[in-house]
Amino acid sequence: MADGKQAGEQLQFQAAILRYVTDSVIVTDLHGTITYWNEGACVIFGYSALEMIGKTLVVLSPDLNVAQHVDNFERILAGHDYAGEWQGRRKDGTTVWLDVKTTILRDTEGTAIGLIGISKDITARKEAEERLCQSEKLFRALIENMDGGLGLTDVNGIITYISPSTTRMVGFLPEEFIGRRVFERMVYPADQEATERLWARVLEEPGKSHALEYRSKHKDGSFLWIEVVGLNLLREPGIEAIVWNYRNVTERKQLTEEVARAKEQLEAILRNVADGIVVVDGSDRLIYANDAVAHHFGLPTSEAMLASSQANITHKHDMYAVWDEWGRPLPACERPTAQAFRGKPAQALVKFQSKITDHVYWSLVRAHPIFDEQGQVQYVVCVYTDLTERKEVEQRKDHFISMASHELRTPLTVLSAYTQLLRERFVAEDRQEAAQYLSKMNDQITKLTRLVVDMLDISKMQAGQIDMAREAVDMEALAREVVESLQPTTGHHLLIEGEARETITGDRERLGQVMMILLDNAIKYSPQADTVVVRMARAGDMLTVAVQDFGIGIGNEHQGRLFERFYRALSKKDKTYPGLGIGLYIAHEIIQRHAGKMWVESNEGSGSTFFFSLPA
Amino acid sequence: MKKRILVVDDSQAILDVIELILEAEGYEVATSQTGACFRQMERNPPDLILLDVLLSGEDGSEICQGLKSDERTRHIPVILISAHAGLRETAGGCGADGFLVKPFHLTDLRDIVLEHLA
Repeated sequence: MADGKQAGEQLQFQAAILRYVTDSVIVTDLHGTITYWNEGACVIFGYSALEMIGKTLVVLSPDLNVAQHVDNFERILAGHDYAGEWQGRRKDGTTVWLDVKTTILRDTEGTAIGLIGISKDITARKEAEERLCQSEKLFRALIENMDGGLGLTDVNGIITYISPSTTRMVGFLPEEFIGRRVFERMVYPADQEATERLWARVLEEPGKSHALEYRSKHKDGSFLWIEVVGLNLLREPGIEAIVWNYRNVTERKQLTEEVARAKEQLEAILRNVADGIVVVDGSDRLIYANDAVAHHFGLPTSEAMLASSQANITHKHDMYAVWDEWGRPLPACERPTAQAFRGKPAQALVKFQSKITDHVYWSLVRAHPIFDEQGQVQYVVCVYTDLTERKEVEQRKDHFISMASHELRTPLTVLSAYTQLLRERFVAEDRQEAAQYLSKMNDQITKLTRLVVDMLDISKMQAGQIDMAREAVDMEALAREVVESLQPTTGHHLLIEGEARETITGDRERLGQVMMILLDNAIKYSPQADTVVVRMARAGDMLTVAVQDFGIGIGNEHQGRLFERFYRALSKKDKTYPGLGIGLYIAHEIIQRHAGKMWVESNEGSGSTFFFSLPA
Repeated sequence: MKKRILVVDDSQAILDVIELILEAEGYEVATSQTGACFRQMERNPPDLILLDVLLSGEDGSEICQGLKSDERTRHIPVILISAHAGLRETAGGCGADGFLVKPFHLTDLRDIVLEHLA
């Protein structure tokens, strides 16, 4: 008992020391009942000695793995100290990580009387470890799942890490990279030198990124375009590696190449088309011009045109006088470009005359608006077809016709005068038959004269040189006059129907010419019929005149082009109808100059009706 | 005393036929293919002038304007003749008294001459 007492005192002494140790010291008997609980244990677990003595350790470890615990217990009893990390629970329910050493407690005789456990709180360390582990997981996940790839090499360029995303990119397995030198056997031969230079630069300049696009081998034998960025972090503590970022840019590269190719093609086309092309932006700046347009306007190259602010379209009227097809000045707001900026494609035959050189350029100008997403006109594309040469030829031809017409008129005048003289003489001698022959001769001379006049008119109309008189014209009286003058020369019966008591303002001679042309045609193209009808009616503020025949008619396919110069609506079987294809052109032009309209309604085989209407 | 008419046209054939027509009417007709005839005209002025507009190298309307701005010749009636009906307005502009389109009806020629000689 004295020994027992002594032992008890010793225990108390030891316990007094242990009370002040910050580590938790817990003693249990061999059944696991707590017999000692020091101050450190109070601090770590939050339970007081009073609360815990007599309880079992289960309180501290609700999720205790009993089998494991028993196993550990047995091993300790067998003389093997336990050391390990252990997760317990504080009084407040929070988790505490402990570094535990458990050893057997013996009395002085060496008999095991309990277990003594000494624990250090390692929660903070554990949590830090946990966080580190988490963040490593996170980064790993990021690296392994990112689009691009990531690799690490050492100072010799030996790959120490390669992300799965990299290997996916090129179809190889990570183990096929690890231990190899970066870029080794992976690069398109032509790019090897560049990758070597990149390696050298990255190595030489720590902390600085260097990028390169190169072609890398894919396991399937194809090549991909890779953009690699190398960053030397060999001196960065904790990293001590060269970091390589990889990105597959094949698609982008192909797209860029395609765009470049398409652009080149387009450029080549634009450079080589005969038409001049310019693009003007919303603020009227010239943003594109091809060489053709520069040549068209007498400049050496498109660069010269773009460089010169004077070549700007808006300034063109400073450099060039601009006229329309008929030689009238064309105001800036009526030009095709201006019209296109108002949202509608437009075209016009335009004459430019340089104010510096007096040079004349004829262009067919076609302007097309290009809209932005808001529907505003962003650009206007102008196409200039150079018609200068054609116009010059046309002008020479018109001049020729004009001269020829004049030259022809002199002999016609002489012929006509002698024919009339002769006729008068025969009449005086009462030789009626001979006089009649000469009348017929003179009619034909008149007809011939009209053809010559028509030819002259055409060339004048083309040149815009025809002026229309503005006088009061009684259309009904005019129609009667024309009919009366024509009736004796034809077997057709010429009828006038309807009334038009109004006079209109216009050129009497020219309007008479229109009726003459329409009646002439009506007679000519209805050889089987015997009537031609002229109708007059007023509708609203327009006076409409119709000339109807019952002849061969005009096919649909011709009706749209009838009023073109020299156009003849003839099928093979109609070849026998002579004509120059100028009458309707002249008539149409005259009516247009009177601000009127001319049109036709016709069916093949059942005749035609030509209409014209004039402002009354 | 016969009335004197001067006819100027660059075509001899035209001059011939007009001369024929007008002499038959009892006029005295002088003809010229150029405008040179007007230089000494004041010595023996005609009673009427028939003048072609398009003379070779000369402009009939200009000649007409010259005659009309000269006090000594202003009173002489000038009738322009032209193949171009469109030149009728030009005729008015240069002070001509009449205008005749080629080819013409003989009666039109006779009437216009008679009218301006009256």
